[in-house]
Amino acid sequence: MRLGRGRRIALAGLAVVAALATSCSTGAGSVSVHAIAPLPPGVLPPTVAGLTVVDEPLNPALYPTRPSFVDAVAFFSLRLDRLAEATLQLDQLRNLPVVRKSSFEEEVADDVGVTTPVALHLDGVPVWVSSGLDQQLWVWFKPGYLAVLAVRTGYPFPRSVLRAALAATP
Amino acid sequence: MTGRRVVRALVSCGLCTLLLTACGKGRAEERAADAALAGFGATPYSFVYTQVSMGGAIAVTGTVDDPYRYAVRLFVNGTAVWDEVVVDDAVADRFDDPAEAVAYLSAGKTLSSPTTQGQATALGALQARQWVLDNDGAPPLPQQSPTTRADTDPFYEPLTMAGYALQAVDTATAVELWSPSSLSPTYNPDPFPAAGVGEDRYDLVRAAFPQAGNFLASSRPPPGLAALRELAIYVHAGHLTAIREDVNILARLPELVRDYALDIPSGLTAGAQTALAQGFIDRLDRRTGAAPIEARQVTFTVLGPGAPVNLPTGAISADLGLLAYQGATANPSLPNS
Repeated sequence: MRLGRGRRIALAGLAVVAALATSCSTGAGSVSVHAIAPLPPGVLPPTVAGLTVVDEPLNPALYPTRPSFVDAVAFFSLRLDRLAEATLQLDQLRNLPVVRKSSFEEEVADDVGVTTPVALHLDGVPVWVSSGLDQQLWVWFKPGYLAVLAVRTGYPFPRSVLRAALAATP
Repeated sequence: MTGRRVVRALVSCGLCTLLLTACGKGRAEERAADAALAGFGATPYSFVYTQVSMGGAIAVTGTVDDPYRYAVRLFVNGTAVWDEVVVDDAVADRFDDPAEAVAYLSAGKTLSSPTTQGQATALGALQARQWVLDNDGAPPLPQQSPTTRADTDPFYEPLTMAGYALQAVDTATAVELWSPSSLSPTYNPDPFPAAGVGEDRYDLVRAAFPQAGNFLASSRPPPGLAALRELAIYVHAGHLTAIREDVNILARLPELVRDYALDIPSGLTAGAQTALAQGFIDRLDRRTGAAPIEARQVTFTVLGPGAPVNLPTGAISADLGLLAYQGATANPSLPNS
């Protein structure tokens, strides 16, 4: 199944908005609005689980106008031929007390997707899985980074993408 | 302050302390049991699950690297019947005893008739005791599946046992730390083995039967699983070591007779009484639309990590959609996550 242009844009936009607008549930009273830089290129390998990694330009309209926990961001589509099968957003987190709170990760995971996230441990990394509109979503944290992976429901190898993305992300 | 005021103040303090103690009773135990259950599965483990009910005995052994990588084997009445290995998007199955597997799994609606050539190929290979591999047919994540999946997937409950016990903790009246010297044990008689050396055992206090209130015996709500089962959680150094459940409807017979005017003819054997009580509970549940409750004994024992889970070599590639919750097209409405 090929995604229409509108569907693909929606897939990309959902992950970005969900992760950048984390201030809504984490009580960021003292977090300031600030510029968000793009992550340097080469942060991901050229392919992930056989899919081509394309660094997507971020629409400035998606940059937050509210306080954010993110210093830098990168957004990738993972493509088979030209079709985007998945998107991966990588955020470099600000070193803030609220980010170090034990509940921060779960609260962010709760904001992504439309179903209640289920907590898993994969390859030693805590991962939250949930579903969105025609997509499966995984959220994980590594020191200083947040990753949001969205794979469209019809793609037959979502867990392989997850496994490879987990290994590839900093 | 007069002597009487001092006495009054001291009595008040004493009452407050008593009330606070009563409110806090079982909370620490509940937190400890919850923590062990919630933290379970963060590292690889293997397990043995057994279930004995009126329908017979099944056992499942398994090795779990993580929720997307596991190998499980089903035994029916002591006979190895079915092997399954899941590695991310791929699933491989083998019938160890094809005749028993087809009979048992068809009766449980786990196995359906092939609808495609690929599924017919799969069934033929399974009946020939061969491994069948479906590269993108892995079942949905058990933790994201509805509990009704247990009706057709015998691997579902063993793979979600910690979550099942977490829910049981939520619905229990209280959680109590088992002690061999307790003067008021949670269960009497106690159906479960003692905690081992260095092990804590947390017993779930059964919920009460629905109060009479305005109900006549004929219209009273069913007692519910929390009122019928006994469940113990074994923990060693904060880690889950075992879960034991006993849904003993026969032991609840006096309450059923008292609260529901259940008529038990004299001279029945224990088995016949259980069957009669089970039938009564089934009718109550059907009347109210409640989930069916089955008299059973379940033991889930956690063992150390097993060998890393890998797909079998030499498997035949085919569509395993004839098995419930498997195959790329078997359950298109379910997220394969």
